[in-house]
Amino acid sequence: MSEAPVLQTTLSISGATCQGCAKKIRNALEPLTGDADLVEVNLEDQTVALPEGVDATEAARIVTETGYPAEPMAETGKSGSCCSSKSEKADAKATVKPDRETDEGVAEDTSEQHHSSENTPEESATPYHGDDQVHLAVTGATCASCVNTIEKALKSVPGVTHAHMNLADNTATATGASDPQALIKAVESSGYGASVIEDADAADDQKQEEDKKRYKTLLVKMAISLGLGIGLMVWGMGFGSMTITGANQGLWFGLGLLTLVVMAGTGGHFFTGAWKAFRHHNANMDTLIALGTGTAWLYSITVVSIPEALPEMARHVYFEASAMIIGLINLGQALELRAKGKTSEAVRRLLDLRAKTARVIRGGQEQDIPVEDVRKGDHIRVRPGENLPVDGRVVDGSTRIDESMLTGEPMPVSKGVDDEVSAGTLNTHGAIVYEATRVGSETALAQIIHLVKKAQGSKPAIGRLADKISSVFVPSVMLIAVAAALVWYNVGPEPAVVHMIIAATTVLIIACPCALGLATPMSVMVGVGKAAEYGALIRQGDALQTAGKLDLVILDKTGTITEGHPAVTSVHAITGDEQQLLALAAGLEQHSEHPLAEAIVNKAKKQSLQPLNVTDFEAMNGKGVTGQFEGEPVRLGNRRWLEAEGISLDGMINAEKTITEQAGTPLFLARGTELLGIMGVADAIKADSEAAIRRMHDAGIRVMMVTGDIDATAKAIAAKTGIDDYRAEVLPEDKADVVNEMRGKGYTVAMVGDGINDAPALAAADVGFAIGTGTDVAIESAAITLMRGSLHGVPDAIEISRATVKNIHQNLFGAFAYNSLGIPIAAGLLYPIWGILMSPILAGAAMSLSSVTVVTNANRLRLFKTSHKPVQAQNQSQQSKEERN
Amino acid sequence: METILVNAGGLALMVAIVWWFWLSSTDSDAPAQDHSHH
Repeated sequence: MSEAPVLQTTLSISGATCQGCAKKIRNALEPLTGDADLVEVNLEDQTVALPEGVDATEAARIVTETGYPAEPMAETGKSGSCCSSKSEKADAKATVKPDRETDEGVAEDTSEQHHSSENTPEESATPYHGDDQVHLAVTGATCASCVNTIEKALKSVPGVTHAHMNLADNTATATGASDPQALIKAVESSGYGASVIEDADAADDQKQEEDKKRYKTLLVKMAISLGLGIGLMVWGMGFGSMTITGANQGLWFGLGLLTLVVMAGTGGHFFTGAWKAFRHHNANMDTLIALGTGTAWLYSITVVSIPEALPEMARHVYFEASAMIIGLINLGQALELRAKGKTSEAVRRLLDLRAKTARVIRGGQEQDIPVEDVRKGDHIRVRPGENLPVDGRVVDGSTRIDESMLTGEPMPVSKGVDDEVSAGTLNTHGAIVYEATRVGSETALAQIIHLVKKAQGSKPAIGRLADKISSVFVPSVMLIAVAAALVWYNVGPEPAVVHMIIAATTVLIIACPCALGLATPMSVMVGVGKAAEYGALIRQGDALQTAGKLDLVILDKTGTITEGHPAVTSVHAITGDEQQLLALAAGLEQHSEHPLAEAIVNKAKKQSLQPLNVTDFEAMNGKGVTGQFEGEPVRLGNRRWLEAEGISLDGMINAEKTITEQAGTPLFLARGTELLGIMGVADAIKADSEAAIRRMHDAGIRVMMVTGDIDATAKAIAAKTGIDDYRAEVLPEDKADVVNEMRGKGYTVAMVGDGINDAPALAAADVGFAIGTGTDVAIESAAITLMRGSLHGVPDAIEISRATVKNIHQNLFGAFAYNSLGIPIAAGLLYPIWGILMSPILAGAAMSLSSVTVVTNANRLRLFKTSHKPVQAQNQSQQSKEERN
Repeated sequence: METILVNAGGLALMVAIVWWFWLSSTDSDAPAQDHSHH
């Protein structure tokens, strides 16, 4: 990669939230850039990168007209470093297009793989630089209403284009150009606390410590308030009386004050939270608890202070209810906190892969240094059984490396000199020395952790709906409580005042929206973590939701169904001299860097053949290659091209048929107008592709293949792998059209491709899967990235997605059903039928139970296993290995 | 008299809730993100 600065025009946009928006923007800018693929839309940063020289003002106008307010940013000069990767990929793609040499299909497809493997370490390090996001740690948020309030507060800050709060880990993210202090102020002014997360790892550790402390504090508070509440109830019912008489008035007054002190000490945070929210015209879970317990206490103290103001039957106190409700809610929050900790286990496991120190060789001396001090270019020695501290390239020794923790690939991979190795992987066998190429946040491991965390915090559409509902929920419950109280007062039996107070308090307490707020983020956190265990990195919650609905999977051929490394399988010469034919073909192809060319040159090398001297080499896009040999033109390419050049291919019809039947691609070689022979080039089908496709069928999904390859080859591959349908001779840029066509037919479509040259098709699909090999993948290029090269990642991700969405539905159903049933019962609906009026204490217990149930149900997902047996076995062995360690 | 007072108070409380949390809401002017185009 060049170190020379690459000028780039960038627009700042707002309102683009999905791949559909990105596509619209790209298409709108196509007339300006000449190629929609040269436009890079970054949804996270809300920026659009354009090639050098494009009129930024005009581009901004077009994008704004498309519906996404845009304005030009300063032109950025980027050296060939991490930040420029995407545009460079686009550039690389544009420059590589003319290098189409042979058969359209193989040339197109294999070049994709070729360029994917050229993805340099610097390029892969893109995502974490220039992120125009501020991450905040938020305190005081307890329910879905808080989420809504905080998101609204952040969105009101000038410059913020998108804000997102995650209740599961109490963090908020604001996207757009904004001042962090203004964001903090906005959150604080809405009644919550916030601080900027500068070092995510330190913040994680700090949060873990704080959670531990909070858990203990909640348990102590629970013990005190429940102790008092139960004590009062037992004493009142067993030994004394909970009805005020002249004799016990003084004693109950003292107990009332004691209850107030305990309420302030153990439940003060509910009251301060409620007050802060109230001041900002908001209502949340704290509001309901404070109103419920406060009403019970106020009523009781009124009874104690002026009993004569109430009828004799209504002189009952409810101090124990206030104390017990607070105790139960504290218990619920403690249990919830504990369960929440478990949901982030997947990330914790990844974090634990990081080595603390590295044995660096500097100046001939080996020394152990903290991993943070490792610099690019350092040579690091790793012994068997050690985890690799940073990413790099082997310079000495050979070994087998277990990459399963990153890729899900069960078998250790052999590594020798010049091979890439990744941080966090385990050196199982020999000792190696490798050169650090990516350190700190640039390592694949750091990027995976970042991505998983980000996805865990994202909210699918279903979760946004729950938030919207809950924002109007609490004030509505307050109205219901007042209405219920009035009904009891007007038509209820005596003592009407007591009944109205009980009904109102119970409604307020039972209707907590905390379960509603937790329902989605908890399941998403576990689901995304589970997918990461299987080597599927999910970028957004939306992808997780949509993947479960897929009914058509479109697969790219090369590198997706096949290995992506074509090899020459057969050579047939008209003259019978196959070595001569191969030497001439190698002479032509040695000028090309194409993988197909590489296959031919490699074959010649294997047979120790010297490539013949071919001059005036020229690559013919989608056709083949040509050159001059001994004063005559030579051509190597596909049937259509050679026939168009007037060359008769009749002599090789049978050989061609054999090649295509074996899923190979025929390449004809001609000198002048004379056919010299034919070569078959085939890309082996991955061993597990057929099984993975069968799993997709089992899941009720139709599988289709799009390839640039010729029809006969595509047909053979489809037959071998059990693919339902295929489209052959499709250029990469036309793959998106196939995706759109199938979407138009009503399918929910997944596109599986290499993530770089298939980007338009991946973006056009409902869910784009980028398939990679090892850790050398562009993990930001698709909604879901499969770290393992295997197609099994697709059904794995779909199964996990389905399980997660089912879990979310269960949670939401539970939360809604709980409230829909709980509120009418609390209001006294059962009284006219069975004479039952729910106690506020029972409401407190039910409320705590509802959030604990939701969190526990989400945690069930951790036990989910996909139908792919080998990975299960591998994961189990990994788990048992961890346990042994 | 007491009945009238309690009912009037209750209704007033309901009106106050509607007014405070919906009609006079300070963040009602915060721009809501439109996802409807999906």
